Amino acid sequence: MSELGFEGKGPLREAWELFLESSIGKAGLIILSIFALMAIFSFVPPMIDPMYHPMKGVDPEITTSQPPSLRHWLGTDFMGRDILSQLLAGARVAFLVGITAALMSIILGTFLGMLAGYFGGVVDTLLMRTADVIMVLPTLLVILVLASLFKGLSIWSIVIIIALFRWPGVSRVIRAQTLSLKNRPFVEAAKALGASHLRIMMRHLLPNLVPLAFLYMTFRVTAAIVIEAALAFLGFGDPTTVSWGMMLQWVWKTGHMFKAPYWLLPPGICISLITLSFYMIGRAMEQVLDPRLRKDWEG
Amino acid sequence: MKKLVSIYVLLIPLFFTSVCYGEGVIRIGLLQEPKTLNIWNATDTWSSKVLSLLYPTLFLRDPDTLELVPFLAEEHPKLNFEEKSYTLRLRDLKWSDGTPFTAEDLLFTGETILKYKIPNFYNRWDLVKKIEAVDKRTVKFYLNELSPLFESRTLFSPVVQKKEWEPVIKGLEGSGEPLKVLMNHKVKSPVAIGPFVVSEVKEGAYIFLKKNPHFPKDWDNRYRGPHVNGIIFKIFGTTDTAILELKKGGLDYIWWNLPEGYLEDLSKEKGLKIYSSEKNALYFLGFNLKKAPMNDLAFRKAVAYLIDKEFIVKRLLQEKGIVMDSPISSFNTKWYCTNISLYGKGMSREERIRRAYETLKEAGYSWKVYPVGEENTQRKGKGLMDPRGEEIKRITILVPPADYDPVRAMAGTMIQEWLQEMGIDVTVKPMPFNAMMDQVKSRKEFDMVIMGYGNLTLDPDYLRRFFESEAGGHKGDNITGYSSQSFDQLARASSGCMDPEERRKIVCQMQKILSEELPIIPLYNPHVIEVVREDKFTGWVKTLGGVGNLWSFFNLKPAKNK
Amino acid sequence: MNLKTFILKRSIQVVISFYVILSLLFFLLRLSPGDPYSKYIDSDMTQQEIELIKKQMGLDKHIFYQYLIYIRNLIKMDFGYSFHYGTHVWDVIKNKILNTILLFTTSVIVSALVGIFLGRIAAWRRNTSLDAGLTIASLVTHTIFLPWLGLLLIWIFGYKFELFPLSGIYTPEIWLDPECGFLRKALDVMHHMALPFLSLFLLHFGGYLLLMRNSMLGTLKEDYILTARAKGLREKDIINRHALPNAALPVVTSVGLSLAFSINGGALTETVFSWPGIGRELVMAVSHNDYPLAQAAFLLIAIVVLLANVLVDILYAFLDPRIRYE
Repeated sequence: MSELGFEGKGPLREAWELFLESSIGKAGLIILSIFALMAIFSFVPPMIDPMYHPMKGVDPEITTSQPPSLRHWLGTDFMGRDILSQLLAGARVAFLVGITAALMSIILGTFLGMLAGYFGGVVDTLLMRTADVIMVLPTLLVILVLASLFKGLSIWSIVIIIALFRWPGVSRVIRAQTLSLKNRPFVEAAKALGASHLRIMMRHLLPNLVPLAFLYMTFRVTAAIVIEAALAFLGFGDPTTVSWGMMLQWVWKTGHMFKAPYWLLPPGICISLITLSFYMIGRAMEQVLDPRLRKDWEG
Repeated sequence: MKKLVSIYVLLIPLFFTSVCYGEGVIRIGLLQEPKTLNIWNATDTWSSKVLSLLYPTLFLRDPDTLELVPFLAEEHPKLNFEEKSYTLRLRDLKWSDGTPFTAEDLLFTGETILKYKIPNFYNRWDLVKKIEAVDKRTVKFYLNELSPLFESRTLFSPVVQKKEWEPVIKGLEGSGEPLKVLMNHKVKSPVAIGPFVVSEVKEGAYIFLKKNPHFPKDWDNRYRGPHVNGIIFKIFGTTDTAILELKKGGLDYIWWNLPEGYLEDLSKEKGLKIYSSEKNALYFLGFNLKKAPMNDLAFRKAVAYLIDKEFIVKRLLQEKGIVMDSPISSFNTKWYCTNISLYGKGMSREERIRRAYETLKEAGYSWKVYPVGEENTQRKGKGLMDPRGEEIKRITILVPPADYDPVRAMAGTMIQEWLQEMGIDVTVKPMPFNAMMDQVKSRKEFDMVIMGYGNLTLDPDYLRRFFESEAGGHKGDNITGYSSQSFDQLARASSGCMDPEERRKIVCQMQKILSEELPIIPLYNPHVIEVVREDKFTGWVKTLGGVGNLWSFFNLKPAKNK
Repeated sequence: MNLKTFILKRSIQVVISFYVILSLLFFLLRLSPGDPYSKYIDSDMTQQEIELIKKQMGLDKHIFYQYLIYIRNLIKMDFGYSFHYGTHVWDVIKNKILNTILLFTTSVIVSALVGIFLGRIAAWRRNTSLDAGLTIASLVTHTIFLPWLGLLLIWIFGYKFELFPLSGIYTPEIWLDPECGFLRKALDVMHHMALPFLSLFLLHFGGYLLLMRNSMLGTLKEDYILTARAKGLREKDIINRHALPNAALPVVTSVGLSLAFSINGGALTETVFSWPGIGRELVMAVSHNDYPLAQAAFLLIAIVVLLANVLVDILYAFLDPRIRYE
């Protein structure tokens, strides 16, 4: 396996430089920062005029879906709400959902994977079989069941459910990595010096697992965003939050799918592009972490 | 790979070879798969639609006057006051297997329903004490008590063939779970009495009905059909693809209510026709009368003043619907009465706010920031306090999610805005339908709710079901918990009153009480919007509930200019 | 631990996992609010009638008693009748699962084959514009939002150009025509399959391509490849004879698991294309509170996926004995 020991600042900077060498990574970062800007600017339109409020604002002069105009750059939806402000608000929701859900599932997955790998035996079997059970259940459907259990989903319960159901994949990888680290000299040395389990895990294992966990996080972010959008699209989203999936649902259910491209195209493009950007960043990070994939492989 | 692609490309011309099958066959879109062809289990919309063409009821409603028209029956039933009985003569008809339709079949149907208390059918028969066959085509119903409901319920019962179902019913005896066995009985092609029979079913894809060869041609002098050779029901998962298919010409009618958004586009299309028909529904804002401040009449009246129903119909329904002033629709002229309180009909926003403000103020409510200042200037109110001076806690309006019913969800948002202007702390909470029903009907844990009954009977007996005290318990139909002795008395009198004039007076009284005590605020009643291909088939008959009715299927003819 | 004990141990674990899943499913489904009959507020059913039918369906019993019956019936392999359709659960699943397998399994196989083929080319021509193009193309198609892509495809190819049917699986006019033979009917299904297949293919081939490419690049850095190269073997031979078999292993595992997962279909694809498959059926069963159908379908999927997982584990244990000693 590859060497993953990043300790100190030097290697980190080196990694960053390696990352920037990858054009895919750079492109991903650029797209992502555009979305970040969108999320920040989402607070602006409602301040200009209350009719630009993405959820509640209705243009008093419009009663049907209108194509783009000076007043509404991307047009309006079926009841006169501004599509551009919805799109901006959607970016904010995507970041919230994606990053919090991914962070939670990564933290959960890393710790459980590390525990399983480090202690082995019964702990390992229990945790990994639980992981199996969760992985076998189709996420979307379990979410549907839980949705009716929770009496409707708020965006936060969606986040928590995604986190709870998406840790097993991470924990498997982390477990494998822990297994290979466990027998390295520096861990053996720490053991010989009488360090406690907690200390070994936190000081010696965790720092070496973080980069890998971080890599998986980029993939989890995309998964979370896509799951939220899919849920909303199927009609199981949080109806009080303006997300891109929700926007698609509205176009679909109100019968504007094939006649209002100004309404149908933007949310779909945004969902696809934001997942693409996280994916690109993930790919670039993979190259940094796994030297075998680097450009200079022949050297 | 390349080979595969080229094979596929070579095959493409084959896909477009014309298919001549389906001359005179009308193609109809359904949104979901009908769950069953077993009539006892057909509680979903889609199987009911298909089966209604196989099992017409004893009587139908005239498409124009909505009066009873005998169908399986030959004429109106003869009432005998002393015996508390009705005598009914049946038409000389044949089942689709060629055997004659007799009194025995009706007897068998009624007895089976009564014996096993079959859900969805039992309440159409529970007035009946005993049925007997007078001769081969005459039946006599003895009732427990005479009731006007016999005509609106029992006469709208379908009839099944004794020969087909007797062996099944025999097998139920001794079974601990007869209903379960009956409803799980598999029916491939029901023996039908209506104009069509099932010819072929492909699960998840289509159902093909062909003409019933034994159906008489001349049973009605206005509609002498059916003139179509068969019906293909195609199952679509989404409205969009059904609409595209219709535009392409692969579909002649979409048998469900279309969202308003499609209208503009479809009206431009050649050969299509849009029908916007009334339906007997009721969409309303319901209060939980067991909770403060909803238990206060003044508060409910203020809410009624603040809700602009005309706005909802104009803006959210885009004029495709009517305002409801009473739980009975205004087009149901037989029972709708005008002696009711209307609360701000036709008023401007300012007037509404002033009236609501006055109503609340008179009842002793106060505000932190008053919504109406000196010289009637208005501003956003804040912090409504009840007569005891306590601030009113946040009130939640439950609505179904926007995809289930966008209009209800949006109406909720509008009502929230209107009430907030008055300083009432209100928030809308969309909830999945199942969860909402659980909350409202079983647990009765809610403040306000926007609900809808999509398919009510023309007979106003549902007023009794929804508002009598008895139904206010756990899982009862009276969701608001409304309880009034005078209303209960009227309701009971109404269901036993055989004189239509007298009964109308009682029903008017009931509507008046409801409009004054406001357990619910009736909001609107949307139209059914449907689209058909007029260039393929003509002769759709529009009636209450849309063009998808038996009359249409009797009357439809292939269009001449092809 | 030898291979036999390893297999035995994993098999026991699978049985336990399966039991946990089936219990979990049972309680999750029953705990969600409402019951199969709570939706009928519009119909003429009165509450007494509903209570009666619930009693006969066994829904009035205590949840643990229902659980015991459920376990007993499972042991007898009796999945019961669907509350919604009123037919035997297996009848419903049988029809739908064949449609799902037809669409999803085919698309997994084809996209894997294409992905592996192109991934090998990308690795071979690494750092050329071809490689960059393939990588970017697969990243873009792999991340596109599926239902949205599906709707676009329907609009463009189904409606604008009228090349393919809009939705569903059969053209009733063809299937009802006695003159149409088997070939015509099979072609009709293929024709309907084209658009959903295309969208699934676009979504998935990129994943396999990237996996294959990375796996190849990784293998090419291994010592034995360096040795082969030092021996002066031709690049083509090195790739095809030495690198490919090893690099293909993770891809083959991934394809195997995807094949197993493919029987659960995809609620999104099946909804957008009105494909009568098991994925959409499951969503419906859950929202109808149709417990017997939802349970049976879930369990079927769970068992296939669990077994696939175990097979992969055993395969790895067989190939790499170190795993057994962990």
